[in-house]
Amino acid sequence: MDFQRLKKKYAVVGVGFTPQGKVPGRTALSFHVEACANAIMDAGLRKEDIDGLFLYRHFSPIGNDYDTTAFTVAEQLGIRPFALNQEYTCYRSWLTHAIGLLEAGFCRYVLVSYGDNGYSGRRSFVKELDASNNSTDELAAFGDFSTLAKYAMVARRAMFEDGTGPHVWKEIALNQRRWANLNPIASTYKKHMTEENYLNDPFVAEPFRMMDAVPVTDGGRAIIITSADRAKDLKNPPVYIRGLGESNVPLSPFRLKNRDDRSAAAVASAQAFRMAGIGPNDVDACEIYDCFTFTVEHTLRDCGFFKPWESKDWFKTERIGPGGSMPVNTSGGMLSEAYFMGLTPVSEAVMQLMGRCGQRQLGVLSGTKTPHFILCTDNGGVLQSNCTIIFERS
Amino acid sequence: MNETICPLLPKISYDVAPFWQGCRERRLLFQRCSDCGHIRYPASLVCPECLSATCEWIESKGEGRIYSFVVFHRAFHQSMAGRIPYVVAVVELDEGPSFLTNIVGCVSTQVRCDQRVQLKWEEVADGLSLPVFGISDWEGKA
Repeated sequence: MDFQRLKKKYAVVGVGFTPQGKVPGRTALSFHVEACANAIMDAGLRKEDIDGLFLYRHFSPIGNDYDTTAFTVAEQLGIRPFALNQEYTCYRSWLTHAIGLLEAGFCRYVLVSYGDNGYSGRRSFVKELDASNNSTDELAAFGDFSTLAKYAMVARRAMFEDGTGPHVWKEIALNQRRWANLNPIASTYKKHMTEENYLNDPFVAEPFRMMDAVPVTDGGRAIIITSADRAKDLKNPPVYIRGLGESNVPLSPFRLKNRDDRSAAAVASAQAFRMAGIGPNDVDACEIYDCFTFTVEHTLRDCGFFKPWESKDWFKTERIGPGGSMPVNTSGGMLSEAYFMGLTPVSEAVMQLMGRCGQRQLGVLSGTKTPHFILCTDNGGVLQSNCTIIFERS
Repeated sequence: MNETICPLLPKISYDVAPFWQGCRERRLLFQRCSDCGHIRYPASLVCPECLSATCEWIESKGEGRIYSFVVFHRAFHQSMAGRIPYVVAVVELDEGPSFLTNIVGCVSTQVRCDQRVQLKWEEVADGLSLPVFGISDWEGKA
């Protein structure tokens, strides 16, 4: 498929933030609404301009919270969008759906939002995606619990086939923490991590430790997408979607292979590069969905940044850390900044290309250059869904 | 008050019922498409290769190799507390399907990718046995 005609036709024009990290006494809905309201203001739009509202996948309400839907978010924003959508589970189709609505002319401004109160509600990440928590499928009897273990299963095979392992994943965790230490809103800001901290963290589902896994967060984030034509008249410099791709590998996690040239990340990223007319060597930085440390390795490998057996040499501070030649997850990522699913990497790519990242701003931070292209990935299920976006500075 | 911790039992839908009936008889059954011959798992109404709805249930010889494995050091459910560390593995059966199971009869540090394994049965409750695997090739070769 050739999406050349969509190249630079759409752009992200606004980002909405909320207080994040540990923010007790708040509903998930309130984080959605605050993030959305702030994104609308950030873009310089009126709320009535929003005619598409998409919510990320959300989890069961906790404590005294109610369920959050696109109806309730739209109600509290006082808007009546043409189209509403909400992920039921983790297929990452929001961007291709949004572009379809914009391209068809059904919508002009699509607002995409994530919100959760999982930290204060004490939702544990290893439980949150865990369908077998309550014996809901035929595999519970084997004790196969948690999403963490399902990623760890692929990661163990990668250790065997590619020579990767904790010695690589600790570099991902440590360097993302270094980035987070430059980001005042990161939940781990000023909390340093050492190699010993990582290696002394006990295995949960070996080969993964808790430090390989994203912690849950309170907070929300939202972005607004519109056409490049409309974007020109708005407040922020538009961040263009130069390339995008999506792919889904709907196999039970135990059927996934570590090496698969038709993996969701491989197919989606190849589409995105083809549409953008550039390759990995043209990319200035990467913002990669990092539910687990290994997800970053697996994704960048399948995007073509290195060969499977090269990860040990690739994930070095001189490349991926602050001041490195290929910065990766410059906000700290989900592992060390905050967990807003794909909106953590997407919003960071957009903020970097708008030049709004303070001391961690690429091009300002010592040893870095101003980015022109940032490759960004969203990921869902167990490596089963991938949306790759190549953003371009205006 | 009953303090017994019940093991987690599989939730058995209509689609997978013949598979679990096989387990009651200690037979590991998979569907083979009568039209294209594809052997499939998990169970489904139509063949994911050719969409034929005609199939037969065949019995696996119960031999294969470990594709990958995870060692659980934490009990996510109280029924597993007495079993940690335990090994959850993906076994590639010689007939083709990948199968999620446990590796038993060894310590977790002995498990390797590509080890040959052999089917064993572990009774969990009420005449129901789980298909689990034991290492048959201690050299660790495929």
